[in-house]
Amino acid sequence: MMKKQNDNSVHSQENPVDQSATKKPKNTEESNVQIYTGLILVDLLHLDFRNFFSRYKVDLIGFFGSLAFAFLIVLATWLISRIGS
Amino acid sequence: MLSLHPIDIAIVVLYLLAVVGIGLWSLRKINDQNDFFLAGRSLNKFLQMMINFGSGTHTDQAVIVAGKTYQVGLSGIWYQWLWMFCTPFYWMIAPIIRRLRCVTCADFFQERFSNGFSVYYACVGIVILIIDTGIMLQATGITFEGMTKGAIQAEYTWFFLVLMLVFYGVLGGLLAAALTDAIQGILTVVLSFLLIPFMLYEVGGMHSLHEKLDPEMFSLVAAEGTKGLTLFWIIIVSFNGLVGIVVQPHNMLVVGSGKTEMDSRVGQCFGNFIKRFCTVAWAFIGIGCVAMYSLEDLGGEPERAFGHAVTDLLPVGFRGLMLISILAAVMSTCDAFMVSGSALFTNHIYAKFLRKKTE
Repeated sequence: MMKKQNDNSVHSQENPVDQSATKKPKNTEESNVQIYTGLILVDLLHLDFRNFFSRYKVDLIGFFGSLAFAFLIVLATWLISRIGS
Repeated sequence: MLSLHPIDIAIVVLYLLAVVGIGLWSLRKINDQNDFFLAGRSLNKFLQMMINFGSGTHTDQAVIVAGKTYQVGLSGIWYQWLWMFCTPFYWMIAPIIRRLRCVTCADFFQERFSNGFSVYYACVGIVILIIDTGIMLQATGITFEGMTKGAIQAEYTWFFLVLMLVFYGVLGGLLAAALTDAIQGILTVVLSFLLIPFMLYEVGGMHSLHEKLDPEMFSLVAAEGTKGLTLFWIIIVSFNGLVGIVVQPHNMLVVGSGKTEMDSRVGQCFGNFIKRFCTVAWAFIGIGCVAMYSLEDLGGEPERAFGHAVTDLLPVGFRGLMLISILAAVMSTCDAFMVSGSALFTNHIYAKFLRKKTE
């Protein structure tokens, strides 16, 4: 069963697993070409810096957003501990 | 003795009936292994968040964090927050796990390395899951025994929990686990925050807490040479947590059950953020206990702080809610562990060794 499912490997740029993993760029010359939404950790050893932000937008926004959220929780905890001091 | 009001008992009974009902309903959705182990890869963002939160959060963590903050101050929060700065990485790891299309890490090791390695991982994984489940059940049994002053003995709690877990877990697989985790996750948040208002009332508010305690107790990072957790310790343990999270036996199964990659990302990342949020409440309960109890009151064991606070602070009516919250926190973890252990055993021990013999 696994062999059958594995035709979508992590490196498979031609067969992304989700529809959300591909997108068409807006207002660019390549508008008729699908840009693969890559995964930074998978492409780490051969990062393509062309369209870097578009390519890794989901990874970048999510990661830095989550990192900000983590700092926000720490900050909120510190502020709560200051209440009444 | 802990007096349970009929309303408390009714809450507990209703909760247990709901869990059994979900197990029976989920049975209709199970057609093959993929449905049983991965809920047909159909979990949306909310269910993904809840199953990630539920499978990673259990009662003994609340007890330990409260105990540690009682001992070393607010910096004791890092005993559970050691994965805080690993959590953003989950956003990038989750789609990789989902794209692997493996049920467990052992499947990945089989493809990447060898059959023998996957069997080895399966054996180690099953032992880890059994030990973890045993520790959680034991901690819950003892907590119940403490809360009811011996009225409900630990052995009865273990037997009852195992019976419930096996019943709805075997019937509904990961789907039943995910659906019950949606309820149990909410109850775990209740467990975390329910005590806070009662505790603040008891100690006279945050201002009074600051007057009674050493300012060092409110420091998130302990200074070098003190008994708390220093910045160096926090950085090293955070890095260690990042390395270890990927190969946890239940992780691939839980994260891989997302409907889309985005569901898996949101579920793993923000499901774990809910836990980080709850940890704040556990830590402040520990701080409050410093003002309420001496170490002698706790019999020399700081880990008893949480149990004492529950027994002393909660009025009748809230105790039933706390009881099912404790049950929920344990069951939501154990159900995911049970399905993971089942997947490891079925695919890598039964299918490879036992089925051949029976055929």
